[in-house]
Amino acid sequence: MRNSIVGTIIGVLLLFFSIIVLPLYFIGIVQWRTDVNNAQNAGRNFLDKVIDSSEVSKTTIEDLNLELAQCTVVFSYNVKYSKKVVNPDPSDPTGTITTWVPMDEIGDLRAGDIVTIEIKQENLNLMQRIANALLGTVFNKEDIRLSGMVR
Amino acid sequence: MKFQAIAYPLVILVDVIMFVAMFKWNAESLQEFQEKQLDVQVNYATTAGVQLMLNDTSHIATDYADWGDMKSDPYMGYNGFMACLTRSFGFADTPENREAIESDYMKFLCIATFDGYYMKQRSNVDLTLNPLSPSPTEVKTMPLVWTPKIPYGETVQTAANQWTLRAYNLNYDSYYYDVIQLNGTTPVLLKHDTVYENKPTMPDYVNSAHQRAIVTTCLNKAINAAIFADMGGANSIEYFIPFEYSEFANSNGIEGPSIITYITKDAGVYKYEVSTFSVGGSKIDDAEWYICYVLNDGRKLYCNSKFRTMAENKYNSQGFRIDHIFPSMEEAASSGFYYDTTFMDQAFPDL
Repeated sequence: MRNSIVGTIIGVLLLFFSIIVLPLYFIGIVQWRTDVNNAQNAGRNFLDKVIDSSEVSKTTIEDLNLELAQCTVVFSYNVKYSKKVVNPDPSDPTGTITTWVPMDEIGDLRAGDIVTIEIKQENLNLMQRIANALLGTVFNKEDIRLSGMVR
Repeated sequence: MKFQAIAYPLVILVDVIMFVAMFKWNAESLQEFQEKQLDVQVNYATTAGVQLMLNDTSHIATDYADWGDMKSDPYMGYNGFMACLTRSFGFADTPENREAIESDYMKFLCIATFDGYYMKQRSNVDLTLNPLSPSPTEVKTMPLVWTPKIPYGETVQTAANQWTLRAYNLNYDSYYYDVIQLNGTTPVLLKHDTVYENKPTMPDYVNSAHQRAIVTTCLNKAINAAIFADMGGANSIEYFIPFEYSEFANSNGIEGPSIITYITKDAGVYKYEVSTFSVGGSKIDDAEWYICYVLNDGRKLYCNSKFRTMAENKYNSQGFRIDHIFPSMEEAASSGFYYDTTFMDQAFPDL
């Protein structure tokens, strides 16, 4: 049986694609699913704790950091507060105007204040990066944004 | 060589199929994530709306009955819901953005209060009977409009052109009758009373399970009609609310004031649609108290009662005098007192 150079090259390429790239792509998606679900759960846990206890405690922040650190991609997060302000309505003697004022610093959360957490995916995990470099595969990159009202 | 000639295309084909399948799976994973995210976002918003409606509404006499401390202002529910949802979607909380969310994403918004419900929906025209009705495309571009409060009730035909409406409230402690004469196409109210001697086919008493069923039926019909109107009559799906939606925090969706909504959203580059149906309930917890005070210069301010000592110290030289104490900010503001921004970013003092 005669060996063809072209055939061998194609064979090696196919083998490389089948054994290396496809599994990397597969594992990359699996890891992304796990990561993004973990990050979303971390955001929900954080928000639930804050809106139920009306405070952002050190433990709550530590728990959030720990949960995000377990992921294979890097997540950064940002917490925003909106303070509820109610004033009389000048055009209606018994009416009121409710607004939520964005605050940089907040002393204590009170019922009606809105807390928003934004979790941003900063990079791809190792498998995704390799698959991306080898084949230029495109992966999902989703931000998580949740808002809740303090009870 | 012959074997190689067949094997290569086969392997290439398998690889391509695998890659396409994974790409599809990747898109489905994204859709699953976005649907879950939308579900969580809307659930937080509905809960916020009901919480605000119950905890912070000034006392209002409802249209059909007055139960003293019962409070449920639908606008407060709407305001809290939209305030949360705009922030969850990453929008600024402006009237324009609220309108955009309503017109682009929202099928309807139902606010169920104690003695009736409000629907924010597209114009509910009968597309089959009215030849002048707009086309389905035009209906989808219409803004959502509020209906007047609609009572929870059941109707029974008592004569050829006479109907009886019996309406209930969510406390299951009272109901009333409306006897309506259909004079041509204009209904005329003949009698409105809590006692109706010649009850036609209705049972003498009504238990709470039956009343729950009536409320559920009313809301089901209203919701399906709203979705039908939004889709321009092209809806073939019927949605049902479970009788006992959830035991969490005693917030059974239809057994107390609730916010019910259906949100759909185009997402991502894959051109699919994610949607969620949400029923949010809440209950009245402990109230926070607010002290209202008047100063010598005529300013009328209020702050949380935990800041009382700080307020006394700060305004001691300005004739600090407590005028009222209210259990919510809305009641303080509706009595003419303004939010004291002095304590806005301060932590509660240790008491």
